[in-house]
Amino acid sequence: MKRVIELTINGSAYDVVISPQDLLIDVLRQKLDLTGTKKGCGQGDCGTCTVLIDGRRALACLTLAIACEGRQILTIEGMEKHGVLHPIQQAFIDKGAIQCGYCTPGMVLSAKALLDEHPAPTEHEIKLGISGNLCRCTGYVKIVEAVRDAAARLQAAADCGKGA
Amino acid sequence: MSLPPFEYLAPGSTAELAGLLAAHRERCRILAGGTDLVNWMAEKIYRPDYVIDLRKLPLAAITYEKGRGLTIGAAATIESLERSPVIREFYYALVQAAGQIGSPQIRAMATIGGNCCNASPCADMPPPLITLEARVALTSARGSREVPLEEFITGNRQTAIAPDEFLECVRVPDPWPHSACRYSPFGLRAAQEIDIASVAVNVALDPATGLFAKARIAMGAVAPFAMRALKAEASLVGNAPSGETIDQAALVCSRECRPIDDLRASASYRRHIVGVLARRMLRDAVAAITS
Ligand SMILES: Cc1cc2nc3c(=O)[nH]c(=O)nc-3n(C[C@H](O)[C@H](O)[C@H](O)COP(=O)(O)OP(=O)(O)OC[C@H]3O[C@@H](n4cnc5c(N)ncnc54)[C@H](O)[C@@H]3O)c2cc1C
Ligand code: FES
Ligand code: FES
Repeated sequence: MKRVIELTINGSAYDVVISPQDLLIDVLRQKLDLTGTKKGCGQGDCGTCTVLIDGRRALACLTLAIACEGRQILTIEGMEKHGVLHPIQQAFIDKGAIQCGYCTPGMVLSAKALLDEHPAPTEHEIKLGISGNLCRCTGYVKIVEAVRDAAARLQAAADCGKGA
Repeated sequence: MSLPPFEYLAPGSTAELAGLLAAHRERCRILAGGTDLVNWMAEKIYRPDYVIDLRKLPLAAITYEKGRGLTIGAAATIESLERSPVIREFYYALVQAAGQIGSPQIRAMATIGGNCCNASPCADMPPPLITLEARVALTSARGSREVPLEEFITGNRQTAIAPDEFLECVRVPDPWPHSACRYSPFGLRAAQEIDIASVAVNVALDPATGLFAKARIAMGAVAPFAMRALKAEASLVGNAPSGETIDQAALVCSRECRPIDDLRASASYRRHIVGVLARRMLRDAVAAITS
């Protein structure tokens, strides 16, 4: 039975008509035109559909949209603020961590979840943090560098904020 | 991938959940993290008329009280287990198992209840839980009962749960005195891997004699469900925790398990790996007690 639910995505409320069996990935991409979140395997293996729900990593391909009512969803579209890319996104560009880009939205959100918890991660922690995201292009080295660089940028911004 | 249609219910209390289960029985499925259920619905293995989501229920707590042991709510995520300080201190094998599951995303979503109810031969939580003498609390409108996890899992993807019951929590008794537990899975790569074999051990030494006082060993992915290595356990008790005793017990484990050949590994390779893991885990556990 179709029904209207309210989803909070990137801080905005959306009323959307869904069926209970609709998956979050399809609702984001097909009903809300938020096509930044990618669909790869559709079964939990590749991580390209990673979003943050209430700050925790979640796979949109294994999540029922209806189960997200009342929760905060963050997708890649919510990372940039006022036309400025998030430092993690900018670090991915500057470090050449993007080739085809299909894995990038999920990688960036995994990196965000990691850095929110560990602002100064070790290389091992970075690798663990992105271990649920497959990349077929880059060989991961540049991605690890980008996450390390993003950590430094965020740390510098935080220190700067403290000084001000 | 799209799912077959169903009606979605999110009860606000366990009493309401029990009522829904009693009313819909085989026509419904409980949804916890969804990491198994959504895939199985997509593959049309399950076509429930009702999906009952646990997300509004207070079933995710992890508590420990000396004398009463550990209680893990069914909806506690694998990530929360991995991070729990009490579990790390007293039940280290559970941290080792939790840390090996899937990926960070899967660990943030998947629950302990789902891992036990899914009853996959390769599931990572049952082997260490079985060595720790875990019991599951099954609740329905009729009341509550407790079953040892070992008896709860009855076969490949089969459990003793009744259609009107839900798994409320997993209870683990206090650790044995002078004991340590360890777990190791073995797969072909580090992340997102299905184990080809795994071994959990829980052993206690007699502080007076230094001999093995108690031992439990469980093996995963080498039988239709996690199985105890009863002969290997018996070979340890009463003996000194020497390299020789441990090597012998490891050999008995590799003989006791009942692996199959499949695309991931041959049965004989699995037997070999079980022996290697059992030896390593027993040595690690003994070292942890004596250090
Ligand atoms: C990519 C990927 C990798 C994985 N890797 C691993 C791994 O390394 N190790 C491993 O062990 N597993 C792994 N799994 C399997 C799965 O993630 C785990 O079994 C997980 O713990 C299931 O929990 P869940 O909360 O997601 O269960 P769900 O999918 O929500 O439920 C699973 C089953 O249990 C039932 N159920 C759930 N909770 C209850 C309850 N409280 N009472 C009664 N019935 C209940 C459901 O109805 C359903 O039949 C993986 C899965 C995926 C998709
Ligand atoms: S599309 Fe969700 S994990 Fe691959
Ligand atoms: S950049 Fe192509 S998959 Fe990662």
